Amino acid sequence: MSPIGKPVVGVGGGVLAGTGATVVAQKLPATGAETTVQIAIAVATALLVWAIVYMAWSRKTLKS
Amino acid sequence: MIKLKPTRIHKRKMALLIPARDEELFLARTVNLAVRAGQKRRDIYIVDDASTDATRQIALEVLCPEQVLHVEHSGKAKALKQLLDQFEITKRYRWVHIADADSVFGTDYFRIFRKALNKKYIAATGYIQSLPGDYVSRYRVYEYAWGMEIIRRFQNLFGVIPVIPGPTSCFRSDIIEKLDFGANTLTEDFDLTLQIHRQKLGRIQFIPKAKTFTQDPKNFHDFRKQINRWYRGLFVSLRRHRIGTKAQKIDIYISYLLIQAFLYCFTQLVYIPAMAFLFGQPYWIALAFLGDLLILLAITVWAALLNRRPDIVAAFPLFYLLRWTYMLVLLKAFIEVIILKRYINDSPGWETRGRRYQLLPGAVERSTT
Repeated sequence: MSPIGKPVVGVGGGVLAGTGATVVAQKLPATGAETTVQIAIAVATALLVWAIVYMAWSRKTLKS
Repeated sequence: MIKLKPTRIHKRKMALLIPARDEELFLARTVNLAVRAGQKRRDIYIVDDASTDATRQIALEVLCPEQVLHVEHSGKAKALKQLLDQFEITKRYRWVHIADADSVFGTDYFRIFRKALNKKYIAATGYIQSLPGDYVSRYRVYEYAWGMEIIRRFQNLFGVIPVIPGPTSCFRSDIIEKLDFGANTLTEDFDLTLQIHRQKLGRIQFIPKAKTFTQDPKNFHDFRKQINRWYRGLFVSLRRHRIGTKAQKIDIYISYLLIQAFLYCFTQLVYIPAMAFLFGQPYWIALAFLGDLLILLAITVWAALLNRRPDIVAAFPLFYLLRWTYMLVLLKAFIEVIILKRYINDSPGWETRGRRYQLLPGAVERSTT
């Protein structure tokens, strides 16, 4: 068990976000829906690039 | 006839016990930091569990021979029990504090801890923080901030602290005899805490001002190994103590935590994709992903501000990966232990060789002052 005594921290927010998404999504107009997908793809790509840059940086600085 | 007054033995307040196996890298530093944090050197004891490195010599350099015990390889909990018996610790002290051999105590940790100890409680635990390191340590800053500031306070309020963690665990000496240190478990701290709840020995005190720092895994491989051990130990202890089968508060609380974790998996992996497919609306997945990410980012920024560690935000994209690793390892351990009934009688393993690593320069100073 982790020192906190909670198996995974922050999942309560994830459950809320997941169920909330299904409610919000029903009220979203078609154009808004398309934009949301584009934003999600852009964010995911940015995170991926960010993670690669971080790993390269940490390998160079923290391990030396 | 002369009536003799019963002899009153003066007990010192608190002993610090450090179990060690192959801890040559940090043992001397841990003892010196404990002294700096307010623990008298004469009240510190080390049990060396058949180390294969210089642990024993180092222990004898920093403490007197009467404070160091060398035992055959027996595992952390059993080694501690031998130390307690050999030096009659419970007869000589009112409280017994146990700490890991790589602990880094905050400047006034023991002064604060001793002052706050209240005999109406039967055990006590302090506040854990992560030492600076790579992305796993950065993730743990987020995790411990949320865990200690919000979750631990809630657990404390309702008397459901489910684990007295290894780096900061203190027991009232009169309950030590009631605890089974010999139980085969992968996570002895969790098992001991469940014993306290099951036997209804009393409440656990949370001392948030007593801060101690812990070294987190160096890389993803060590992280995965660590959480594999945690979750297998979690389910083994849940089985052993039949958590979820009684109407105790701890049963309700731990069941709630597990349901919440599995519900997260279900919403993210099954419910949202299924709903998106059924209603022909793929953007539901995008919306759920963005919402989850936004909450994670908000907590990360809050944790960075709280700990004055803006550097943790740099590793944010990897937090998502680590959280999913937690989830998948939790599911795997559930299948292994609860369904396949494996690891149930596994002996405790606490090999530290190769797990400990040199900290970043200035990490201890920056954290503790």
